[in-house]
Amino acid sequence: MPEEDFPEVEYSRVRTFESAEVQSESVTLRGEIKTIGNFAIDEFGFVWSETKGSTRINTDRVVVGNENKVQEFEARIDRGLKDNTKYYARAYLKSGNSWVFGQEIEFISNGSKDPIIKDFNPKSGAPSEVISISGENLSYNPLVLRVRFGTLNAVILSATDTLIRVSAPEGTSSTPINISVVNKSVTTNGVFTFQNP
Amino acid sequence: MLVKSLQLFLILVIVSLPISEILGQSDFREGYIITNTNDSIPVYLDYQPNASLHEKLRFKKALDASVEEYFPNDLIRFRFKNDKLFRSIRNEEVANGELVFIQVLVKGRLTFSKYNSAFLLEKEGDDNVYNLNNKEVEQSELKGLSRQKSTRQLGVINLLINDCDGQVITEYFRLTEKKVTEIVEKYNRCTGTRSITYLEDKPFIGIQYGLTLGATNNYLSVENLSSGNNNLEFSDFGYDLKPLYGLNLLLTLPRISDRYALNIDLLYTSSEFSAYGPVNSNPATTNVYNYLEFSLNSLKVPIAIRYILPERAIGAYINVGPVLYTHLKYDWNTITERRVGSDIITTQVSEEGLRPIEVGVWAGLGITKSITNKVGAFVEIRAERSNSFLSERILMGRNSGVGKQYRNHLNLVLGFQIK
Repeated sequence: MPEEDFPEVEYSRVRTFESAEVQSESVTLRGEIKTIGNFAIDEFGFVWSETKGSTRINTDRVVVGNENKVQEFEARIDRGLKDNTKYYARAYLKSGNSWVFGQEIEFISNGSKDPIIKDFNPKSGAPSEVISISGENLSYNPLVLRVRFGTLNAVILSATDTLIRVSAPEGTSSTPINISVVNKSVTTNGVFTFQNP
Repeated sequence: MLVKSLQLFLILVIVSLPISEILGQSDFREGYIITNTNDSIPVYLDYQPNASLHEKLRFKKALDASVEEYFPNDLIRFRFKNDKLFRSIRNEEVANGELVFIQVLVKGRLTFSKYNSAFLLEKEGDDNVYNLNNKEVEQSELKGLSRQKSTRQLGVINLLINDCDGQVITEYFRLTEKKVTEIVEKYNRCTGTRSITYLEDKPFIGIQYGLTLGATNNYLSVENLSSGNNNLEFSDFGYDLKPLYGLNLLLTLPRISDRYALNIDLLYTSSEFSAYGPVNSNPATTNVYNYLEFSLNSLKVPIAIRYILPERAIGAYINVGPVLYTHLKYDWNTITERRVGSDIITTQVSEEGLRPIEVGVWAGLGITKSITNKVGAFVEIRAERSNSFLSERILMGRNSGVGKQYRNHLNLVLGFQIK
């Protein structure tokens, strides 16, 4: 078949390197942007999950960068990992309308760091008000996140490793906010005050 | 495209050089002739293979003068400066009694000469010429009595040297120029007479060795490659430019020929090829692509007969011969990309089916330049074609049986050689 018969794909290509370097409370993953497609790369990094074959849905991820060039990259993941648990990971990139995922590798984790809450806003509001909670070692994966106002679960609207947006539950009094990431949790020092209409 | 054109050009140039033209190259070197009137005249002699010089001599009185020819009846002898000496002779033992030039290798009380492959001995005070390769012995060989040859040669040599104490040879030896030269030199020393060895400064075997560096541009073509369950029709894996480096060895036989040598290299190089295409035969509708990657780390051993063109300020040569690749490491990965909505999901499989040995042929054109008396440098462009590295079992195409595969290589190498 002549070379010109091969259609060029528009997406960039990404690879996951085989070796995951597991340390205490972290794992280092490595990957490579192999070729550049027609569209600029919006972001690249790694996704991981306890479920084999996962890609974009219900996975946690770490964004390493967005440079539009062929390069090797790595990320040290020290959040959202249980101890002694098998995880499946892939390098990924987002380019135009496409999410490209490298081949899947697996590793057994040695746990990760505790989540940290830095702040939340607003400090008071009515039920269904959107509350933004900033912190560290949070998660993109809503399946491993739980946010509680006292004993009430809040609906997670969006989540990243540093910011979670939730809808305030139907509470009536002042209460601290508790965030649980996989099997580790943290509670705010201050309280959220419900303002009922 | 440029590389392929260059390779084709190089191969055509080498293949199209008529052998007669190659062998007929003129190479006029300083020397002298002695005419029948005993006049010694410095001239430039055409340095031809011995076979040509037995019949006639081409020479110029000056480098820009016209070429003249002399035959054995015109000259007593001629000699290249610090090199070969020839003299004319008519004897029943040589060339069926024709008047010819013979090459004198050692001159003394016992003189050793050569006519083509025949070794000739002459002794002062004896008018005979003893041909150690005469017909009688050859006939004996045909009857399966090959030992008679050495026995007779032994007898002839012993007859000529037995007047020197302790020189008699009792053990069988293989008749070589080197061995006979040693015997004759030893005899002449033993008799206390003057002995001149005309090629004394030239070793029987010359060895040059050194380092080679360069770059290789590979082109891989494969038809009907079967990858796992997916039959693909890749044909063009494109080009791969990589460095190569290693050792070179050049073996010469200076006393036999200045024009031919054996070139052997040991080079390390690597190669990477990749190609992708749709698994579905309709590229317009497919949503699965296979991306193939081959990577090789190889030791290559190019072997060649080198023809050295007559030397000017810069020497030039042609190499032609086989090349052997040993792939020290060879990997093949098939990476499948499947589009599901806006996600492209990659899976990767390491596959088997590469073979560790690859063979081919090559030809090269090079130039050499001496840096010092002991060190020389060379630059060479080489074209190769090899049978590639994929096992036949994975080349079973869907439509046309076993697919074809080949690799073209264009190498540019430079190096140093210690003489």
